Amino acid sequence: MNRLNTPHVDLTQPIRFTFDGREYQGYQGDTLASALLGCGVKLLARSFKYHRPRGLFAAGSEEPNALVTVFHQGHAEPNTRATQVELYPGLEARSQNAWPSLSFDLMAVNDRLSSFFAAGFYYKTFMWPAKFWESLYEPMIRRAAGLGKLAESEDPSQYDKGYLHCDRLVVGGGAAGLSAAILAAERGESVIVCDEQAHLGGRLLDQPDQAWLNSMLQRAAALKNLRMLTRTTVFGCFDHGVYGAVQRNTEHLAVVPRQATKQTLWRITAAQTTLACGALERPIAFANNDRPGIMLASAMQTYALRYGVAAGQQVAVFINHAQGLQTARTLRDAGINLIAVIDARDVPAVSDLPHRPNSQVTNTRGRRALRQIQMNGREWIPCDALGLSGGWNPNIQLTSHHGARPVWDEQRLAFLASDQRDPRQSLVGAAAGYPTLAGCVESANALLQGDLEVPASDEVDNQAVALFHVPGDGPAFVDLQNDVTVKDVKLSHQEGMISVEHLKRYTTLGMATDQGKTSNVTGLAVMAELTGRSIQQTGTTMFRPPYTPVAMGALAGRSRGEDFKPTRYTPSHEAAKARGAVFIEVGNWMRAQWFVQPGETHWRQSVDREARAVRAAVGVCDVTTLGKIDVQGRDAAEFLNRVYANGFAKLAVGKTRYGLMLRDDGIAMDDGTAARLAEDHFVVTTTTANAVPVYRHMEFVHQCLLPDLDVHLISTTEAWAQFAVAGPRSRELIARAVELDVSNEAFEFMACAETKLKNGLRARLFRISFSGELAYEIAVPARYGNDFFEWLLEAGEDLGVTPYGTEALGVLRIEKGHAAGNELNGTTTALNLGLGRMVSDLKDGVGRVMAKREGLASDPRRLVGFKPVDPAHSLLGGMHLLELDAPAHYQHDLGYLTSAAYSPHLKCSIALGFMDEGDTRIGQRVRAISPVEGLDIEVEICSPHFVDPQGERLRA
Amino acid sequence: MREVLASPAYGTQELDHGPWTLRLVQDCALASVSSRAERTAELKQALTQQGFTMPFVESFTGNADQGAFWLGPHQVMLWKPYACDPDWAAELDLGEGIYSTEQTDGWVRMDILGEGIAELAQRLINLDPQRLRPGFATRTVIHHIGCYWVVHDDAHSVLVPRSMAASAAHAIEQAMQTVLALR
Repeated sequence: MNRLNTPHVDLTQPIRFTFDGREYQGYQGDTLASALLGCGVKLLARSFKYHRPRGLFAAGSEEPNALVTVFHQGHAEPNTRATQVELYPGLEARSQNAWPSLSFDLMAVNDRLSSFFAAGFYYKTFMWPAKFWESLYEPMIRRAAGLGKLAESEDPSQYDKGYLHCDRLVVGGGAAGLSAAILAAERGESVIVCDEQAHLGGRLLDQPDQAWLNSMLQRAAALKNLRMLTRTTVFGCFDHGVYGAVQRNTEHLAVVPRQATKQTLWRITAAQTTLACGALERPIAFANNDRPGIMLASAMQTYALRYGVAAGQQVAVFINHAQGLQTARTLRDAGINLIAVIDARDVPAVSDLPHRPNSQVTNTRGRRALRQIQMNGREWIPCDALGLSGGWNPNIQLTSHHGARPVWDEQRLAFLASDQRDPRQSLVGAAAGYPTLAGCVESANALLQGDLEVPASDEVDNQAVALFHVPGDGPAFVDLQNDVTVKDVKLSHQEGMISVEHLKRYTTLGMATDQGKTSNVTGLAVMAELTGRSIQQTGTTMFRPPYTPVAMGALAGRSRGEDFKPTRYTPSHEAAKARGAVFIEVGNWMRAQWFVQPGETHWRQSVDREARAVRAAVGVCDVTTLGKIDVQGRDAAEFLNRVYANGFAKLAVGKTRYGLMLRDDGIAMDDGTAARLAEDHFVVTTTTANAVPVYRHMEFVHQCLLPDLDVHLISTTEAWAQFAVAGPRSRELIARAVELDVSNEAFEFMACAETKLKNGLRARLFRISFSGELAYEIAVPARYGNDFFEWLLEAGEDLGVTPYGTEALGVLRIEKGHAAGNELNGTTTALNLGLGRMVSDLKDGVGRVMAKREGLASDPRRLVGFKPVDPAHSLLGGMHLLELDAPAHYQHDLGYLTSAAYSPHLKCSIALGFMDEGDTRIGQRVRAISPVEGLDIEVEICSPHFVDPQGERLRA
Repeated sequence: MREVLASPAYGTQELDHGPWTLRLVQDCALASVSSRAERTAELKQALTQQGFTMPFVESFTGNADQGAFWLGPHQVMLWKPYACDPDWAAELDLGEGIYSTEQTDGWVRMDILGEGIAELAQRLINLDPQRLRPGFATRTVIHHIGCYWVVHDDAHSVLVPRSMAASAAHAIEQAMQTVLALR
């Protein structure tokens, strides 16, 4: 066992797990990465394109190489960073992108052919023939290169989401984050601190002395207004100070409690945010810098001090800054066999380390793991682990999510946050460019006027020389995850990719799942070198959310399957269900589409029966979903007069009027009725789809255009269960229900009244008709809707009453020629609808002026009816109209069908549609075509009123 | 004509999970009232005469039986027990220039009772739980459902549109289970 002692891993608690089917042993506190390293497993993956052997490169979420598939709770999760997987008993992980095995990968032939696979290879090679791209090239490339494979089954895990609020969000729980969180909480702010690791402490967990960290954690724990979220990654900064964070709840558990959610997506609203996200160490590129065993020096320190694992038996570090020496000393003191500290700087050699100043690593050897490193192009040194320390890249991703580009700091040799970032964001510690413990505490003190004692430390600040890559023979990898080399960057430059955005897209630098955390700056530096510009002049690409990949399940939270969205039930839902209703979703409403009766095997049988029943006797349909808006006030009539195109000022109490509402631009918005229940009280109805838009429009008109009118609006859609009772025998049925005299004389067409049922229940009655038959709409308080629907069907049994659904409703209204959503489709005008005269010139109204503009007023299309010359043919909505001899080309388009149905009344298919000057061509014939369906049908143009064009039935 | 019976907004009237109970409150009559800006004083007086106190912005006055909460400028929702006066909301007349609309059937009131409701609320509404103190009322959203969240001494009352009450209750129950499973 090559494990070192550390307080964070319990060597008395072994944990068995498997990798690629082979069993290994780790310990409580390990990650999958540290456990494998502890078992001497260095080869963990094959690279994306060249299938080169790869091992651990980092110890945190920036890991570009060690992506594995983890099987948890029976589900395969691909592309999981081994560094982020906490070990639990029975953990099963597999490597990816290798065939037939990780150690013997036949696809590694790509590496031999790498000179052909330079940047732009695919663009240049697979251009011809174009038709091969989807069928051959793309599948072939995807099989040869890539990451893990999706499970192709539904993720069985439960996800959750929620909202958090605080005065200050601190992102990162290291020295700077803890300092800032404690100081802010101690001065009374409500604080949330998030850290993506299992324990707070950040790089303090990698230090030999934990005393200061422990004292800070104790101090933090005593603060009730400080909430600490571990295993929580703040992945994005969004508008209005809102941050997205994913908390991993159960992925570290071998046994997940029942109903426990795997992850919680938190939406955190913070008045202030302090970014203490630390910094990621920057590698240095050189030939063959990707062999297993080569990793960031800070990762070596993490594995040694946090997890008690030595990265190798003969360890070297390659540095270009003074802090690298400190890392080397820490490694040595932890018991690591340090054979060389290769320092690119021209500085005096230190005596306590095998320090080799003014030196560089120029190449490496080792097939599946590092064996030797070459120094200065000459000397080969046996070495099985090489740590790279090329400076620090502050983690400033969250400052860029609002569009602020990072700024290059020549002194620190790093990109720092722009002053153009969200003003509510502050930075402390390494994220702000202060990577020492003292710098972390001092920057927190400065931000929050604190007086935290700065702990004693022999750390030195970053005194670096600019070294990003070492020239040499062999591939020098800049982006390990996407297999982008220095040579690729050079090639893209040679081929004219001057902008950094072009470089990124041509080479895919920084476009992998790690978003270039360990590669972007090196790539830019190489580009700058090539162009002879500074890094600042070269520029940088933007960081965008998410900081680390976020599962789609986490974004969905509890909104999945049947819970994806709320369901709205009509008042008569249960009764309809009991009567065999087939439901259709309309908006979020579940509406009865038709009612299946015994013996009916096709929906048309049910719908035809229902439509015929309404024309012959009486039918009942739940129309609660239509919007209802209560309009009250001294000026209610004047308000409606302005909001509708037609006049309402003189509508008598007890009367209802059909109204057409226009948008500001003159296009028809919605139609419906307004019933005047009292001088100062109207009830407006809208179509189901426009219930909310119409209410919003009316509020806009009231609040912004007509604020002086005394008018009060409130939605009552939910308050009333409303039923259409339609058919020649509807009066008899309604008469059995209400106390009111409903004779034609006493309650004529378009009458309305507030009344009571014969059992005393309050009700509203409207004599309006959508079907063209004698019809009423009756409303009762919504709670009573279900039983009242039952009562109507019981009470009308002898009248032949039939419940009917939305499909028959549609058939009836098409037969009558009433416009609905298909006709009010956001492109049509009152003129198109044949309602041009409703746009009154006698008053002002929303949309009136714009409706008269030339473009709309000269539009020749009119709503007319169509029926096939051969009654055996069926028409479809969406068919286009052509002259009989015209070719099927859009230049000859005369219009289109909007609604079509089989009319049981006419015993043929009928349709409504808009046609150029259709109203002047009644009786003529044209063609209706559907190239999609392959239909070409001769049709006769007719009145849109297929049934009772004189309106005698509805006035009967 | 036989009596027509009222149906509850959804099936289970009371759900218990851990420390929390979600109770469908059926004995609650609701009415919304509004006035012109210049008649706010009259509105306030009329409410006082009816036993209500005019609530300020984002606030509730009263108790579980009788109360008023803010809907918008010069617009208030009132609640009272339904059983003692079924016609109260329908026949409410607060005088000239003050308009009322019965909302008893439009909205469904569900009360959440128990300790630590703030933790539950974090899974449901985008509101700072520190604000959820007795006397607070606001319009918010639960699982895409526009609703009112009202806090009084006895419970947190959630008012949701009747057609979506089943979905809202399910969302609240699911949140309860989620929080408990992670405890």
